[in-house]
Amino acid sequence: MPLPCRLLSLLFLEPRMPYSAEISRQQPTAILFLLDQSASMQEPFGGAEQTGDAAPSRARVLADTVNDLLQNLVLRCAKEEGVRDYFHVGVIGYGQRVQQLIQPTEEYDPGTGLVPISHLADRPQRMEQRVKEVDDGDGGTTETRVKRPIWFDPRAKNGTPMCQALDLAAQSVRDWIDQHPHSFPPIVVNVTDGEATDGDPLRYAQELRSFATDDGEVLLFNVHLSESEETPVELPSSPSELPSDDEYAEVLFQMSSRLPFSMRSAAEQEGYSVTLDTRGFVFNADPVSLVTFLEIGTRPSNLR
Amino acid sequence: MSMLPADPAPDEQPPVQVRVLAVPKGGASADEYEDAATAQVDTWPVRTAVADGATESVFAREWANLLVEGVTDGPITPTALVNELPTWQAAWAARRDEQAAAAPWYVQAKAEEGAFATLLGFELCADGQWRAVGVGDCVLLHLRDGGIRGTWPVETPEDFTNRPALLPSRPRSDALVQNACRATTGEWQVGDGFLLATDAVAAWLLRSQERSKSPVAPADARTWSLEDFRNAVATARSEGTLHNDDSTLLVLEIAAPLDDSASA
Repeated sequence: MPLPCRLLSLLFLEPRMPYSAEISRQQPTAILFLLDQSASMQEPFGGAEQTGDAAPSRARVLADTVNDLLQNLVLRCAKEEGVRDYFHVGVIGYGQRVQQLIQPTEEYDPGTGLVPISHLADRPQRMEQRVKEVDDGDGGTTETRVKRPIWFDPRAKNGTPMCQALDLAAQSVRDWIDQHPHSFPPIVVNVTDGEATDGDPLRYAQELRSFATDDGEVLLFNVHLSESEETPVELPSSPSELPSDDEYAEVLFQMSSRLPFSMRSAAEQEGYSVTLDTRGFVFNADPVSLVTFLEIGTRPSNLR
Repeated sequence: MSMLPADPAPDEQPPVQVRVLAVPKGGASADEYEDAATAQVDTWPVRTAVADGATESVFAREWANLLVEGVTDGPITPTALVNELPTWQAAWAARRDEQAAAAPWYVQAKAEEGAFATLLGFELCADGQWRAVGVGDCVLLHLRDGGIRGTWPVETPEDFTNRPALLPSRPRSDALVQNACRATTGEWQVGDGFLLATDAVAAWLLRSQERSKSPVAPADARTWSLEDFRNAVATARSEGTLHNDDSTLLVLEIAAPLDDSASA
């Protein structure tokens, strides 16, 4: 290409938007779940008894949901030759203890608590069989048996040491960012049903969100699981959308990052109306809104 | 208007030349390339096709290959595509199910979901007509006199989405495929060129066309060697004007009749 043409083409380059880094094996991203395992998680979701549901505990629903989500993340990366490491994944539980729930084996420990997803794929705690309905191609469905990997089981005991969990998450993502400075930044999803019992989580959340790659600051999303029958508040853009008498809801709102462009698009495709101020936050989530939000919040962009 | 008689004998047809220019996505090895392209130019009607296997599925390269081979094996019509799809799906399953059964849980689960691909089939008929059929966002560009005469089914770079219609390797309802399947037709002349491009290349070329100062124009492709294409792709990827994706461009040229071109 002649030099003048090349200079002209450079003039037409647009500055790169944050949260637009390509996700590839050379440049993976990280997804870290923080799961409330306090005693109150033994209770069912608000309204479950009244509607006659079998009412599994919130801990059970959360463990099932996150196991399913990890399975879906593995499947998004799976190719015939193996699982491509587009994601590094971690799960921190907080209740009786604050601990990593996914442990890398000795031969591969990156030291961040975030494990390459191929490692996760090959080492579930166990496989369960379940029956799944699939399209039969004739407009109907047929039942088929599928294997379902289980990485961890529900736990529910003691208080809600959310600040410690956020602190451990900050250590994880800081070390991971040192190793991946150009990646789409880590996504941290905190799922809880109660107030922190070990301090002010907003301060820890701000610290966590202050770490950044070239592509943007760490994203922290929060899902508050319902104890009541109130309608979920999904992806609010302003504190005025939250229950007016609930200070804790506003703390979680302030803790939550704004959705980047790609996730705003995903949210719109799910039927939500979003603005530039939309936060990655659901208050009073029921099981459906939990699953929907996790699907939006863990789709940073296309995999390459 | 066609410059040819309405129904010329096959040996009176102008020579058709086809080149396939293909570059895998950056950071991937050549055997991870999941586009496919084919051309059948020895007999009329001339048929060509490109397909783009979806990255988030297993055995997508095989599915893309089956689609381009299958669609160029018969008339380029939506009816033929819908009728033949089950045959191609059965061929994919026959090759892959046994292999998947011995694989880890995630390959089994992905194989159960099936592979997905976009497809564009193109046919040059002896009567001066061309026909195209497609599912998804592979794009046909009709070139004439140094410019673009038309593009199909996508007209502007803004029309590309992350969720194009896809052909599944596992049976789905016929209605879904019929709704996703589009067709068009037009007239060709001696000297015309046609480009069949997978989505990333198509979006790049259409975007280039919109920018008056762009260093690349779709008509440039008519003279590109594979080396030229590789260089243009590498530059565009580094400048951020071409998404890092498998990049495939099939270039079809309808040459001047042999008598006229003998001195060229």
